[in-house]
Amino acid sequence: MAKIPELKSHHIWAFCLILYLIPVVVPVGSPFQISEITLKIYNIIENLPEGSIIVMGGSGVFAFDYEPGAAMIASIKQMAKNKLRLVGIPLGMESLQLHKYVVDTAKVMQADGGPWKYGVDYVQLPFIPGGDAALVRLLTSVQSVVTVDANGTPLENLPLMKDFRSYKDITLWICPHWGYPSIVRYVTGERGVPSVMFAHAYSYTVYAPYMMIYPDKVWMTNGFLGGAQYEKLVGFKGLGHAAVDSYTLISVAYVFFVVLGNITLLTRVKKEEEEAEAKK
Amino acid sequence: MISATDSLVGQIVKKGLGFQLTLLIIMVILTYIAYYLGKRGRVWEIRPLEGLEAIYEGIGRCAEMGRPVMVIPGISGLGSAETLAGLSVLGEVTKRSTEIGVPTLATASSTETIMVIEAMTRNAYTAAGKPELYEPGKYVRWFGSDQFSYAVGAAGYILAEKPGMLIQVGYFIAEIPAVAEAGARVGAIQVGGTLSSMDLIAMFADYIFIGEEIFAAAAAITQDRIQIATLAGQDWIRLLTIGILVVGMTLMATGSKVIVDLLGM
Amino acid sequence: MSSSIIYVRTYLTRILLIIGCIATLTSWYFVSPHADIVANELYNWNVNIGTFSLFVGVVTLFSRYLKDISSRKEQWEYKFLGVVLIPIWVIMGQTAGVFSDLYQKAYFNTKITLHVAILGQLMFFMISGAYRTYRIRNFRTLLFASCTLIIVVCNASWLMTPFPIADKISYWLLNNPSMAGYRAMMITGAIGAVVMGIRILLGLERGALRATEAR
Repeated sequence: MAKIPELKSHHIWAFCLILYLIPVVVPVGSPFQISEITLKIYNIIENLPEGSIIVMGGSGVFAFDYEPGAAMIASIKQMAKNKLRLVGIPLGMESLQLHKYVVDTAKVMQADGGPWKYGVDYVQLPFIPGGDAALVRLLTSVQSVVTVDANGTPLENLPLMKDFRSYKDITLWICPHWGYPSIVRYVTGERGVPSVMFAHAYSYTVYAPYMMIYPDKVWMTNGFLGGAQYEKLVGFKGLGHAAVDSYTLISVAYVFFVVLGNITLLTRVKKEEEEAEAKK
Repeated sequence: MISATDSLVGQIVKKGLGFQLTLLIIMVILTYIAYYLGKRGRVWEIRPLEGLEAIYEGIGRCAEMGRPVMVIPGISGLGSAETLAGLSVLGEVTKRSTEIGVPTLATASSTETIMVIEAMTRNAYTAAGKPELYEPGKYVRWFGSDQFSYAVGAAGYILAEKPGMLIQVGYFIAEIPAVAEAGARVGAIQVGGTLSSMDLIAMFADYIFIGEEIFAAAAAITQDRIQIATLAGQDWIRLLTIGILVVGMTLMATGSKVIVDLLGM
Repeated sequence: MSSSIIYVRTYLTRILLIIGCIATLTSWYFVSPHADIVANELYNWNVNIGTFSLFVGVVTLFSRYLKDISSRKEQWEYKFLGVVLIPIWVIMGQTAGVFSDLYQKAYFNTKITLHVAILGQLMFFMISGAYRTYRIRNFRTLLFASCTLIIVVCNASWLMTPFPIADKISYWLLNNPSMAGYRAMMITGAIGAVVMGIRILLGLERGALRATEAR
């Protein structure tokens, strides 16, 4: 049997790059199913009473949180459609930038032709340093930790903030960030507020135990695929759909190279055995 | 019905933390007993850790090849137990390799960790009688506090210096592939250990410390009898945890929530 | 520095460490307003020292970089870029605000783009790593490779359409064996971390500096 040569890393990278770029040029439109958990989260938000306050908050790194951003954008569109209200609470330095990105991309503000008015339907708080201690103080009394929003406007001038004083006013906490354990511990565990995490594919396994511990209060989607599923439910094609094609092709490449690696090993072993036999 | 004891305990201990506190006290007692027995002369044998054996061999291999060793204690600061374990490994590796003339290179993303590594390297050279060889910034590089600016910088550092062995023990998350791939390209032996991204370490490292083995390695690498004794305490605590799990599972299977209520006490 | 000052400094640090540990543990576990006050005060000092060290870091960075730029040391061009960009970002943040469209556009088109690009390249490294690593030589490597492939395949949308059961298998695998293994590592890691903390408090842990002290 002929020996298959070991591929160098840059050969593999070049192949993957070509594969990754195919859907950019020619959208594949790979099909996918809606998972039960994504449907559950969608229905929970869909059935919330009008005017409910949802918090989008947590601590994370923007580049990582790009992945949950897909589902977050879709859910913001859903919230705007259902006349829900949103408060952004960034607990990490880059979280503020992500919150602005998802709201701007969802185009739900009146300036973008959407129904939301800033201060009435949506308020963005500034970055709150202090980690868990700040979160706990904020949950007890919002106004004791922040007095102005991200634009510097005093909170008492914002109608939404008159209805949001403490954790008791939060109907649902959505975390599109990596720093979910603090939210589960202090928001859901200690104060009983239900929470949703739009998880990265990588963090899903890490945080899945929380769904087991709080089966009626914690739910999670799974990466870009979860985002694409949520977009399909809301009825538009966004970041999730754009990523799913490449996701699909690269996962095929992953399997292909693992199988190829093992075939290479097999042929090398067989060749060595044949050579050893020939020497005898 | 609330008894007098319940109300007294509730006034002193916060709700939901009673069992946790009790367990912590038990853990301290068990560790102290192991430490005390170790001090009294009891010798505890630990099974050989594959990664540790690889580190000892790797230092020798680097001396033969004339290549440096590179140690990365993670991306977190001094407040992380994993970073402290990584620093213990780094300290011992620096000491051993400096004695035989192998430079130890290091990088980290946290500035406080960098300061500690610089001090360790300086002390190692002084202890080996070669203080003139030490220069600030020569062995320890900092590429930024951001996770990926560190990862890209570390990858470039590895490609430039071509270490014979790359040890990554500490707190790591998703930046492991960037650094480890560079290590693979220069043909370095890779030893890794972390709690959070075991899957990525296992994919790239030749030898791994699985989970809490990084803490065992931090103790074992010093070859200090008393530190190794505390590992016995760690084992006893693990047995206790397994016992609680088994009892809890059995009780849950019978429909009893005693352990669950105890945990929430 | 005389040895007596070093000893005094070391013991003061140790006392501070123990006070901090006791105050934090007490405020966490016990209903104690006094411990809460001490823990809060220590926490605030921690935040202040952290902020101050950031300021010191920026001053150190500038002094080092300016020296290297003036003497044209290696990579002085990148240092010059850093020295110019840092004040620009500070001024932009102060004047326009971090929530402004200008700041967002600048941030998104520089830092975030670079960061996402670096994250994106991990895909290449993981595939080349998988090609090298998942070679089936014995039962253990067979288990390792097959578990990985099952998760990758079942998490991809292309299999879910012809085989909708793949979605259920995927979630079962993620929520059960994968999660259980991760949980086990977290529990044992936590035990190891607590024991390490006890070693530090007992003064056993050689730690960063004592490991290399001269004998």
